[in-house]
Amino acid sequence: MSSSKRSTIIVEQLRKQQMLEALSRGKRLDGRDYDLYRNLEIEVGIIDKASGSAKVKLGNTEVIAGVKVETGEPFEGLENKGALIMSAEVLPTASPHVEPGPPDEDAIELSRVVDRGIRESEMLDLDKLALIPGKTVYTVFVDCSIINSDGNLLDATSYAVVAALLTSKFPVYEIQEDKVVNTGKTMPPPITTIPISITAVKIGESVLIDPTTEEEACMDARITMTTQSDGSIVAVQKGFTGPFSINQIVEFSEIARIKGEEIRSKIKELNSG
Amino acid sequence: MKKTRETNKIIPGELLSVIEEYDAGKNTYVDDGDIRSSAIGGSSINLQDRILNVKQKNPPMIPKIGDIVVGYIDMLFGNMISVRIVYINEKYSKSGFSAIASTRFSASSGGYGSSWRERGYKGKYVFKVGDIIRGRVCSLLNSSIHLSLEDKDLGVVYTICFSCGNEFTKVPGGLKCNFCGNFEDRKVSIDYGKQSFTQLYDMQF
Amino acid sequence: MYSLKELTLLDENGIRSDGRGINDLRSIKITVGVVKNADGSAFIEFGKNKIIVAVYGPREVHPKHMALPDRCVLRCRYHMSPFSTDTRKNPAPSRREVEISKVMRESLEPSLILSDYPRAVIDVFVEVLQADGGSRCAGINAASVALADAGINMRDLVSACAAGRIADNIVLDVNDLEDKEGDADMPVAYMPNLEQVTLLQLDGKLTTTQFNECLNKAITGCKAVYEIQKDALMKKYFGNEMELKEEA
Repeated sequence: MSSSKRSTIIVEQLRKQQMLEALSRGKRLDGRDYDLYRNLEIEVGIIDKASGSAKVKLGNTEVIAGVKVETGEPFEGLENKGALIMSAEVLPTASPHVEPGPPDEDAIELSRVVDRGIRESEMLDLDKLALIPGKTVYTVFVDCSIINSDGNLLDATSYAVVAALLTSKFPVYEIQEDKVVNTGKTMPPPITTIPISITAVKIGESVLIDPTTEEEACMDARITMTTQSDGSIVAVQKGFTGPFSINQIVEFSEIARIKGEEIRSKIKELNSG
Repeated sequence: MKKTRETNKIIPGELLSVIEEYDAGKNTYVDDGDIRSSAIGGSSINLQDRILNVKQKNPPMIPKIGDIVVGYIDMLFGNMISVRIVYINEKYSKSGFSAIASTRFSASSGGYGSSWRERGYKGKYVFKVGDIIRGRVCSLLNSSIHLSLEDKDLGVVYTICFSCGNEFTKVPGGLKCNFCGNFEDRKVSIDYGKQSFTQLYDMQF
Repeated sequence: MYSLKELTLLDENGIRSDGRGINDLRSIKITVGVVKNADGSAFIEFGKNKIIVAVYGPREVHPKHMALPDRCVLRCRYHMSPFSTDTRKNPAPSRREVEISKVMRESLEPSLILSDYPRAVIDVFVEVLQADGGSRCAGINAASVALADAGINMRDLVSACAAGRIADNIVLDVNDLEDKEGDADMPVAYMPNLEQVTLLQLDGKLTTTQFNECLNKAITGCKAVYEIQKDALMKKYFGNEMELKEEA
């Protein structure tokens, strides 16, 4: 978003000054408290053709995730585990600044950070997704499309992926005479924990949870922390050019745990309801 | 007798009348003698001039003649500047249209003559890349947007010192840096100051 | 084998595999203004098709040399999400998507008065979230509504619908199974007020009589779709007024 062109420097400076001034009065531009999430709506099962799907609306940010389960060869070195492949695309519908084409570095960071949260927490027990060890395993594709972007794509995408996986129904494959056969039956996915990511940005000395596009445009630094169900931290990504103090990071890890628990209980309701 | 007749709820393509009865006005077009709407809105017929107009409900944000725009200078040419539009009539525009303006001041804008330092600049205003300026759309000739900067409330609204990056104060004939004392020549608007821009920014939310 | 196929697609009572008669459309629902950042947008559910369309523009052209001095450039991108089809689709654009982007652009362009916005560009982004046969028709329907929502001056809406042949029967609105197993599929886009055809493709074999019947059937379908497009726009732009009148 930020550019170093001389022509836009003055405009950007003024925007940031205005943001800082609002924050010095203890207010965000949209009137939220610093540690308040925007309205979160999750809808699951919207794509019948996918094994699992979810649409997440976080304020004006809107993300759809779809799970597809196929069979294929395992990754090298992980012969006894199912394969998990994650991708995210910021669609050109999302904002006037997106150009159609292959994902840029921000979109790749996005899918990798979300992927890390799922993979490192071992949300999916990949050991249970091997068919012929070393030869054929389940391949789980999770693809995300960002429909509308208004900041904090990281969290919105992560919730969409978690909700889609949690509510998905995996097809059951069997080996019959050395061939992989889709039995037509389905099974619940092997879920072990629910990872939840929480993102904040630092503008001046203020740390704001769930940033909007405008706040991201003014940010000095960004931090994303993913916690799993037992509260332990499984993935962290610090982004952008500014620094965080040790204190800010420690304080934030506490916020990530508490906020993570709030959102986790909301996502858990999806499966019971 | 009533001078206008109005109907509501029109969508594009709808048959409104025939050319024998009325002239096709705004947001209408003629196809094989029929007058049809080209927009969503309501029609109004001026019974005196016999013109059929459609008042569009959702006009796209495109600069029209007379609109006041605020933007920043993204390029300088010899006698021209190119302005990237950010606000049209105080509303944020994401379309990123660029407009051009002439840096020559016309003889008719004599109002500035007394305070304007004309020496050395050959009758041209001075601008620099990045200046935030306000202009009025004066022409759409050759499909480009032309801005006029001649009025008192038009011109540079805010900029920073070219040599040290600090704020300027408006002084007669130009701007003086608060920090290093650097003087720069500009066509400054009467309400110079960052509020003119930040107000618009706040209105976005 | 042949008779078996026929039986599943169309039974002796004229009922198709999904329970419709030969002249029935699938259920269609259009919602206007679903993408907050876009200038115009629409979401269409056309049977099992789920498609989102966002329109940006008229806006500045990048790269600048693409701008035309006398009219607006129209760009269209048809794209399928990886989870939209039965087997996962690679997110990179396929040749099929490039072709559909082109025919969609060409079917929408006659309806727009592009000379009103010289040197600008209008971008139409069509994202298929779930595909179920006839996604190009559904996409055109949603795109035309989204363009109207963006306030682009247009001559008419564009309504699209396919017709096809199963054995000796001409059927309306071909679904995914009928597209794959049937004998012909003909998508048609049509401007209902101006009575002009803007898209015509045929995939399969038809005799001249069958062709005429198929075209007429598709156009009846387009007219039915038009009413739904019109209702969706009316609801968005005059919805409140209509409610107010009912209350009074």
